Amino acid sequence: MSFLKNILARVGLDTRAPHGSEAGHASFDVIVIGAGHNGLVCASYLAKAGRRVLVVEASEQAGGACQTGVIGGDTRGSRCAHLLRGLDPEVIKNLGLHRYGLKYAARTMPTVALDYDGAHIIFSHNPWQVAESIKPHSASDAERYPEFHKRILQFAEIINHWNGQTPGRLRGLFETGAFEDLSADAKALQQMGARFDVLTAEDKAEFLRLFVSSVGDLLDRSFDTQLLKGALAFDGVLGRAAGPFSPGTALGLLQQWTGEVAGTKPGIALPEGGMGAVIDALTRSVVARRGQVRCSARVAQILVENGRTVGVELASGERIFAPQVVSGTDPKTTLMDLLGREHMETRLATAVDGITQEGVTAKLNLVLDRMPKIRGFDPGQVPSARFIVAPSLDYIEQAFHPSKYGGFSPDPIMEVVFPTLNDASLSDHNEHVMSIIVQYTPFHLKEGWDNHREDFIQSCVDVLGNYMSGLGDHIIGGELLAPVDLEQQFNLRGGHWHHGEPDLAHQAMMRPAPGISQYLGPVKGLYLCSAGCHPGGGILGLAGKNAAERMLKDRVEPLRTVRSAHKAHHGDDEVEAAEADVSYGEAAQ
Amino acid sequence: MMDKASAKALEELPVSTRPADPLRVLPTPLHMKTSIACQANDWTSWAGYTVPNLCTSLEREMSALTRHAAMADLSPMGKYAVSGDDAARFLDHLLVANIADLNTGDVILTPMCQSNGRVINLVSVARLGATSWWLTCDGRHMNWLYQAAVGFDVTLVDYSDVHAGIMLAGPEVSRVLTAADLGDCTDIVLRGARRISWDGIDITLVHRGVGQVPGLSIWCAGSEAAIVWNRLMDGGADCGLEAVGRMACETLRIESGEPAPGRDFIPDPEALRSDRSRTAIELGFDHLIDEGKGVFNGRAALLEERANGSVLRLAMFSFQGAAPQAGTQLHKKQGRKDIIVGVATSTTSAPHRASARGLGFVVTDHVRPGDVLDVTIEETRELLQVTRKESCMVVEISG
Ligand SMILES: Cc1cc2nc3c(=O)[nH]c(=O)nc-3n(C[C@H](O)[C@H](O)[C@H](O)COP(=O)(O)OP(=O)(O)OC[C@H]3O[C@@H](n4cnc5c(N)ncnc54)[C@H](O)[C@@H]3O)c2cc1C
Repeated sequence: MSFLKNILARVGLDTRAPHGSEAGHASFDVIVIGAGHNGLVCASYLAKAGRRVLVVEASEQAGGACQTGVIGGDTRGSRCAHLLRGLDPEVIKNLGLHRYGLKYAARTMPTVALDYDGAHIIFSHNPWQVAESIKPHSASDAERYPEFHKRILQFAEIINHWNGQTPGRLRGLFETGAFEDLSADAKALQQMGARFDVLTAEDKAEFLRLFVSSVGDLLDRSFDTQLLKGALAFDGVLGRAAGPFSPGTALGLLQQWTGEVAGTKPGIALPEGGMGAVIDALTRSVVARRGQVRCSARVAQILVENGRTVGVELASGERIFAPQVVSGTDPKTTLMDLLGREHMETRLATAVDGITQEGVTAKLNLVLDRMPKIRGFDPGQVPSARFIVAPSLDYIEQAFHPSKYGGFSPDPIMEVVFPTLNDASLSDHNEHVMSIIVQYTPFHLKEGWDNHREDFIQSCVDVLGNYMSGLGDHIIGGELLAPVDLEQQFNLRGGHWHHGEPDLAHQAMMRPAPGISQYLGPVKGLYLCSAGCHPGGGILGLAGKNAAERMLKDRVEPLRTVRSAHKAHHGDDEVEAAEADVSYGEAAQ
Repeated sequence: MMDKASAKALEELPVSTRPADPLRVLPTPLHMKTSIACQANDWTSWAGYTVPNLCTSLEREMSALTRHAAMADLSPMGKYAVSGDDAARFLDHLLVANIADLNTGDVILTPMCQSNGRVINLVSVARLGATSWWLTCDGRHMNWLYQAAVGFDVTLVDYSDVHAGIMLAGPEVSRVLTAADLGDCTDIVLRGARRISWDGIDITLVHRGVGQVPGLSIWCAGSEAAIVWNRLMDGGADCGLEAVGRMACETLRIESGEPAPGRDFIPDPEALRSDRSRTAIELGFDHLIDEGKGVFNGRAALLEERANGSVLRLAMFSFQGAAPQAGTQLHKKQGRKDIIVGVATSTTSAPHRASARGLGFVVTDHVRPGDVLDVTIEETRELLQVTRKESCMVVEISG
C-alpha cells in the first residue's frame, strides 16, 4: 500500500486517524460524505464558490469505484471503472482538471467488436470508417450505419442536455397529489420536451419510442448483422440488471453515447495513471480551493436537530457540524442507514426501499507477462482499443438469463482494455494489465461466491481464449471483484454501477426514486450527489456538478440559530457540551 | 345454554378468509347470535360482512344505549396487533398522535395520514404492554402498515378476519361487566385498555366512549366470540342489555361528533380528486399534532396548514326539520349572492331528540358557531318529488 500513501501524500490528503481537537475546531459550511468522483466534483464546485468544504471518506483511499490500485504483484490498474466515457467537458473546464494534472494516455479509443473469425467490426467516431468494417458482414447494414450513428448521436445530444441539468420535480404525481401541483408537473415535463424542437416529426416519434423500448428492438429494427447488434446492445445493458430486450435499455445506449472526450463523440479515453488520476486531479482542485479531504473517516450517522441537518457523526464517535451535508454515497444507504428511517415519511421510505440495487457487473483484473495474440491482428499491431465480446443479441440474452435466478452463464459478455499499451506507468516490469468488465454476475449467487470464483474466472478466460489464443498461459496474477467484493472493498452497495438500477421508474425526475429528486434530501440542509441521482452512473461528474449548483441556490441558515432554538426546545445538555468545543460554520453568503 | 353447539357451528363459518368473490357477503363470527337478536331482520353490509342494521326499532335501541346498556357486533372492523422493539417508534411515525407518550393501558383515537396530511383513517390505538399495541379502525390497512413498517423492527399481525369485536355501551355497562364476572375491568368503561384471560378465553378490552355514553369494545378470537357474547348477554339480563344494530351506533356516533371514513371523509387513498379527502386538522385533530415529535406521516403538510389556516373544518349541525340527505350543501346569503359555505356529510333524525343532527364541514372564513345556514331539502312526499327550503344551525365547529 506504500503506493497509495504516495498518491495521498502527493495530493495533500491526510490518511492519519482523525485528530479530535483539530477537527473539532475546524468550521465548515459543507460536509461531503464520500470522496467518490461525484462527491469530489461537488466539493470542488462548492469550494470554488467560496464554501468551506470538508470531504469525509470511509476508505483509506479516495475515489470510490473510480480508482487506481494494485491488482497483482506491484502492477497497478483501474480496479473498478476503467474507461472515461464522458467526464463532462464543462466539469473538466470549470474545475481546471487538466491544470490539476489530468492527462489522457489515450483518447478517441476505438471499440472493437470481436469476431470469432477475425472479421471484427471497429467502431470509431467516424461512421463511414465503421461502415467499412461492417461491409464484410452485410453491405446493406454498412450502408445504413452512418444514418443510424448520426441519429443516435443527435438523440444522445438531447439526453446530454438533460444530464447537465437539475430535472423538474413531479410534486403533484409523487408527493401531494394536489391539482395545482399536477399542472406544475405537466409544465416541468413540457420544459423537458422543449429540446425536442430540433427533431423532425419522425425523429420525435422515434425518440419517444426509444424511451420505453429495448435496445434489442431498436437494433432488430435497424440491422441484420448479429455482431453489429451485439456490440451496440452491449452499451445498452452495461451496468444494468437488464437484458437486451428489457425496456429502458435503448435509453442505456443513448446514455453511453452522450459522452464526449476531447471534442469527440462518442468519446472513450484512458487517463494516464489509471482512473485514479481523475480523482487525484479532483482532490487537488478541492485542496487548492482550501477544501479538506479526510480519508478513513466513515460517516455513521447524519445528525438532525429540530428537523434539519446539522452535521455528521463518524464511526469513531467524532461529531462534525455544518449547516449543509451532501452525500456522495448511494441514496439508499444515505437515507436508510445514515439519516435513518425515522426521518422519512412512509411514502418516501417505501420509494427509497423500492430502489433495486443489486449489481450484475464484475471486474476481472489480470496481470499478463505479455500481450496475447488477438485473432485478426498481427502481433505487435494490437490497437489500443476497447474490445467487446458480445457476438449477438441472443448471446447477451442467454448470458443475462441465469443471473435472474442467482446463477451465471459460462458465456458472459465482456469489455476488455489493455491500458498498459498506452500507459507504461502502471507496471514496473513491462507486464500488461488486462482490465475486464464482465456481465452478468449476480450479487447473490445462489451457491455463494466462495466456491465459484475459479469456475467463473475460468469461463471468462475460456471465452476470451476464443479470440485470444493462449491467453491462459500469460496470466501471472490478478483479482476478481464480484459485486459482493465491490460492495465490501469500495463501499459500493450491492456492487451496483449506478447506485440503483436506472430503470424507467428511476430516471430523471424520478431519480433516485419517485418523490425524491433534484438532489434534495428529505431533511432541510441534506443533499444527494451520487450516481444514484440524475443522470446516473459512470464517471460523468454531472450528479456532483448539478447538486453543487442546486446547493448554491439555496439559502443557508446559519447553524447557531438552529441549534440554540433546539436547545431552548429540549434543554439538551449533551448538545451544550458538544457546542463548547465546536465553532460553527456561518453561511458563506 | 347453547354455548358448545353454537361454538361448533361457528367453527364451520368461513371467518378466516376475506370474501374471494367481491359480491359475496360473509357472516361475522357473531352471525348466529346477531341473527337471533335481529328481530327486525333488517341487515346491512359492512366491509364485506352482514351485520344487523336494526334489531328492533331505532327508538328502542337508542333508549337501551342512552339509558341502559347495548351490545353490537363490531367484527367487520380492521384489527391489528403491533409488537416489537420499534413498535412505539413505528406508530409514532405512522400516526399523528404522540404515541411514545402513552403508558401501558392508555388508549387514543388518532388520525393516520398520508404525507400530504390527508387522513387515511382514524385509528384507535391501545398500549397493552411495553412493546405491544392493539389497533382497530373502520377499514383495512395492512398494506399501508406494511409499507410504513419498512426499516422498523416490528411485527404486524392482521386479525381483521379472524377476530370478532363486540361493542358494549350505555350507562349500565359497569353493572353488566360485574354481573358477567368482569368486575375488575369496570375502569375501562371510563378509560384504558387491557388484555385478560376471562375464564379461559383471551379477550382485549378497550375503552370506547361515544360522546356522553360510556362504553368499551371487547375483542376475541372468532371461534370464541359466541361464548363471549352469551356470557355478556346472560350477565346483562337484569340491566336492560339489548343487542343493537348499525343504525343506532351511527346515530350515537353522529351525535357525538366523531367523523367516519366513507361517510364524513373519503380515505385519502380512495379519493380520485385530491381535494375530496380531508386533513387531520380539518377533521378536528389539531390538538394531537405535536411539533416536537419529529417526522410522522403528514407532519410537514399539517404544520403548514396549521400556520396558514384551514379552508374547511368539521362542524356539527342541528336541523330545523327532518334531516337532509348526506351530501347536502349548506348555503348562506352574502349580499345578493347565495354562496355554498358547507356540506352535511352524515345526518340522523335522532328519535330521542327534538331536532335532527348532522356532521359535516364548513368554510372557516364564512361560518361561525351559532350561524344559521340555508338548506334545500329534496324529498318524496306521497310519490311526489318536492323541494323545501329549511334552515340549520351550526352548533359547533371543531378546533
Ligand atoms: C465493475 C464496474 C466497472 C465500471 N466501469 C466504468 C467505466 O469503465 N467507466 C465509467 O464511466 N463508469 C464505470 N463504472 C461506473 C462508475 O464507476 C460509477 O458509476 C461511479 O464511480 C460512481 O461514482 P460516485 O462518485 O457517484 O460514487 P462512488 O464512486 O461509489 O463513491 C462513493 C464514495 O462514498 C464512500 N462512502 C460510502 N459510504 C460512506 C460512509 N458511510 N462514510 C464516508 N464515505 C462513504 C465510498 O467509499 C466511495 O468512495 C463501473 C462500475 C462498476 C461497478
